[in-house]
Amino acid sequence: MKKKLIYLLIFFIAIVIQTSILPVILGSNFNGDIVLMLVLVLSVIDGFFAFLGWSIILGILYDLASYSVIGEHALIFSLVVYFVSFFSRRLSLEVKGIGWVLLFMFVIIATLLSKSIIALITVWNFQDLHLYWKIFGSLKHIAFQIMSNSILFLFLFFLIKKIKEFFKLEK
Amino acid sequence: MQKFIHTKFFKIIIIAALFLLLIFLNPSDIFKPVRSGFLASLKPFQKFFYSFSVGINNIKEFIISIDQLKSENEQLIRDNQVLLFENASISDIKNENTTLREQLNLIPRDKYDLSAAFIVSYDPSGTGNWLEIDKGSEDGIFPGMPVIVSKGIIIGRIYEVNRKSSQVMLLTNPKSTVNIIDVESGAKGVAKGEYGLGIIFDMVLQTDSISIGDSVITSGIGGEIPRGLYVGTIQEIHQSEDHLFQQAVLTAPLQISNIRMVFVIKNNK
Repeated sequence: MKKKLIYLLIFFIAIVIQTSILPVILGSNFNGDIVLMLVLVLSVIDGFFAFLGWSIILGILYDLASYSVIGEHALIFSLVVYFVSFFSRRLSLEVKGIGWVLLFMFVIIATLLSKSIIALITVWNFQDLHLYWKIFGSLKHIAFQIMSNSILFLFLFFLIKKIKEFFKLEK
Repeated sequence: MQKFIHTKFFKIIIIAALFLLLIFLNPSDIFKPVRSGFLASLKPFQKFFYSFSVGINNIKEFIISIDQLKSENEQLIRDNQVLLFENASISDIKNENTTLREQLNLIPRDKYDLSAAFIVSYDPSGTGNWLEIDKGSEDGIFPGMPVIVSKGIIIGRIYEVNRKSSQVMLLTNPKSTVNIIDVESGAKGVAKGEYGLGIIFDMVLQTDSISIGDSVITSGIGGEIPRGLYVGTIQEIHQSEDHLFQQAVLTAPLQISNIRMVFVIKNNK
């Protein structure tokens, strides 16, 4: 019960930060995605089976708060959780010692996956293929977003670990 | 087969298929009460943090501007010397500017029934497609109502209305179209949102004359949006892809991330 309440509170705070703070303070160029990074961090820490359900709940809440099509972020987040589970199982032994590189790769791929799915859904809504790359963004924009996301990921990684230790939440 | 059903891959395929179906069907009306309730619970926090962030953003911009002040001041002194020689022509421009200001500086409080609203959240995707305000159907807000800032500058229209909040579709949203007119030449067209380019002044006839720096206001055609709300200034002119019309890129007069409050035009008085 304690875990559920804490997770819901974390989700709530992340959504408020993503919709009311980051777009104003960071602007469009450095627009990080704290909710996506939260999913990434929790799927790295909790694993596939423990976090898949939570990722769907968070995705639907985020869809509601961001006026997105219901299911858009739930789909992205569940794919991110699967992707992390798939690669961490296969690569963790081989890349022991350079784990941070793997995590950075997760950030890049999660960012690109999220952008490409959002672009696809928007293209579908507008029925205009030409929009795809405009929505996906320029290389510079993507680079800034990956940079912002990496910073958010690191921040959240340590924060969530501390929260779990403080509240003695099981892995 | 039994083994495959219990794999992560199978689970994720089923989940992805279900969500794809949901996205494809998009039953937004079913989720509307849920969205409305959830947004109502988020609103007080969003309102506080949005205002807080705008404050931080203003301080940040002020600090950055101090750094630039010295070099800007030197440049201004040089510019001023040049401008002294152009003083003769300025009086003419001043007259024109005064007329223009009279036309544009519409403080519409006495003209329209306005509802003041605080911005509580902003499109997190970074594309600047929408923002959310803290007024909804309980406050008499309806879809299609124009949204302005204090000096009669239109920023968008109400798109989705919840009980206690509404989504404003900004002029930069590709779904947004507003009838507009060039103040200087009288050329009519449509303001369309464009990903990555902001606002486009589209459907301008080849025979119409538009120039860089011209001001553009709403034309009032269609009746939904009143005439005379300021949209922006022409920044760049080019031909449409089919060469049938002229197109222009408009610069908006303000940055949405610097404002906390907007006004919804409910009715003409």
